[in-house]
Amino acid sequence: MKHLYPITLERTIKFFFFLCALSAVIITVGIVASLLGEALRFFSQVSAIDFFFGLTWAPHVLPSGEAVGFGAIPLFTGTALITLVAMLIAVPSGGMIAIYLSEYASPTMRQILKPLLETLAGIPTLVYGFFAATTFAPFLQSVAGIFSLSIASESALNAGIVMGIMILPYMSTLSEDALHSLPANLREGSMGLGATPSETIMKVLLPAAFPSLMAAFLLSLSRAIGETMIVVMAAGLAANLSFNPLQAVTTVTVQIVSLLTGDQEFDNAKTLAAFGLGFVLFIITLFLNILALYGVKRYQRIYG
Amino acid sequence: MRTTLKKRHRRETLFRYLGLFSLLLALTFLGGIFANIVYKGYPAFFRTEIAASSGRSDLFNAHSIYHKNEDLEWITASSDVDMYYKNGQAGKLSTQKIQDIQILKKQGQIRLVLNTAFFTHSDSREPELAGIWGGLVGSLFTLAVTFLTAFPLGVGTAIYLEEFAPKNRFTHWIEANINNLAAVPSILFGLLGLVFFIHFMGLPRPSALVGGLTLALMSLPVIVVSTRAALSTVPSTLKEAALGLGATPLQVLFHHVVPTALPGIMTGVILSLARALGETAPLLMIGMVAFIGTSPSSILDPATVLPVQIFNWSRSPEMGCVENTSGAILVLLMVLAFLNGCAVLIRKRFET
Repeated sequence: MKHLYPITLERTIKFFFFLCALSAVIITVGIVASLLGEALRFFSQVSAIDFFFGLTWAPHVLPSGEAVGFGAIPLFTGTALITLVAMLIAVPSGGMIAIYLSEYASPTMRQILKPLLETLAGIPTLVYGFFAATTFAPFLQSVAGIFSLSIASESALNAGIVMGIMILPYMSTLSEDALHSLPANLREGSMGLGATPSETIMKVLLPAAFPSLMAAFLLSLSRAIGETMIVVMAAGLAANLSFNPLQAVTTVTVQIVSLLTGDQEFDNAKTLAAFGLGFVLFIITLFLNILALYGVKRYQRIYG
Repeated sequence: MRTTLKKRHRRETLFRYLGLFSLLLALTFLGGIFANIVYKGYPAFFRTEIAASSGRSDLFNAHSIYHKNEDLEWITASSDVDMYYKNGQAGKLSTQKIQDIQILKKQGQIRLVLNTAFFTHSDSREPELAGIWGGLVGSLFTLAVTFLTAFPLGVGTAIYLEEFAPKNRFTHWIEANINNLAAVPSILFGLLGLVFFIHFMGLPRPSALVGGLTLALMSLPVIVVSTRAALSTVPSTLKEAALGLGATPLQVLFHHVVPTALPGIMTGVILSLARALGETAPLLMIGMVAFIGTSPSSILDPATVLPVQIFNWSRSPEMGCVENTSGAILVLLMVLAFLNGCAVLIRKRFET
């Protein structure tokens, strides 16, 4: 019986697979520990109240060793503003694309467009960032010029619109999956009662797929908030506390990059601030992800 | 009755066209971005040269004159001349020089050649001499590290979860962790890499090793999710038949389950590597942003990767850098299209 694997080998290999699976846990713990550790060091130098409620972001350390200008509110509002613009672009058009592909498009058209959208979702965000900075910003400025509006070259509108285009393929593939996986008897039942396709979609399919559509929305939102390259290249560093999309604002991710691409002394409050911001980003996206992956599941009805 | 029906049908048509309109709008936008980059980037594949016999050393690239040897007939033009000759952008050129270029053009002493240097040179301070070779090699080393770490770990995790894991809370917790990690912003993996690999383990900073390990952390959950999907499509009758014939669980796994699921696994791995190849943000965190004018010869050497090089060029104020940036983006997109094409091909070829 030489050709049989010995039992010990069998057990060793199984244990190896178990260790592999543990690595995912270790990474999560590692992210939390490294972010939390450095963030706690940061909050020992800068008070958490100043950080979460301060209105001015101009981080520097005075010669006396006092760290000032760490009010992160402008970063949070900036992130919210750009994300809002992006979602205003991505949600309606992404939803309509999903509806069209799932309910109206011919099977051939769907077979071509679905992989195309998936491929487009894989384009590096750097490419979108470059487009936003070099082409879309001047274009927006000339459009604004027609209406004699003044628009900053690094406006929130510019970064937001391009980010919306970036999220669109992601949003529409996720929503399309949600709609397409609905059982056919829902459609047949509704149309059999005389509803038009659009009435079926609006009154039967969308409510039925609502939890999955919500999950698609939340995952897209989490991606928009954590998106880095588009905003690094197209949004500014100026931390303006403004809700005007024509002005330049900055985001949490932009500031993490700018704080860490300079010198990297680990005891400096400026470097540690990046980890404070990173921790906030992690908590927000974690919350959205958990809500998307598990929270909405409770409302998911099983059809079929 | 008739009128309401008419109204409802009109609404139906409107709705349908709204969907088609959104789709076309999105495709136009994405096509526009692509066309824009092709339009801006293709001149990067060409280079302006001036005949050495013209003696116009003021129009040559300074670096080229320095290395000028006697038998060189054509010399690379300076960035300003290059920009003017290709795109008609006067830039910093004086009107006198522009007239001179027109004269050279009539005499046939200025020409456009394929810019092989763009592919064979590493980064340079001068846009007309800069190339993507260093970034390409760096990307290759980085991806190799990513593949060698994320592939065994990811596939191992997926096999454990799909084939061996007991259904208990701990398993469920591991699954929750993986699903969540797949949606964590990439920049946070950069922060983890900075703290763990550089400050805790003390690995050399802008190296392909650290970059690859950081990207491996990011790719791992994606590989796990896609591998599990591939493994779950293997019919249970196959496993039961093998087990019934006396195969051990591991024999069933390695002789039947993994080979059957392999096309699906490879597709997922290729797609996750493609994602890692285009990733920039986490690499900025671990200091790969520095200017590096040589190509790395090992995974411990200071290295840059193609996307980071693109990012650095995009921040440069020099005019020649815009076309270099677009050119490099084109190369990156072509590599990504190739990888995606491979993935689609594998999926189609083995689809049952």
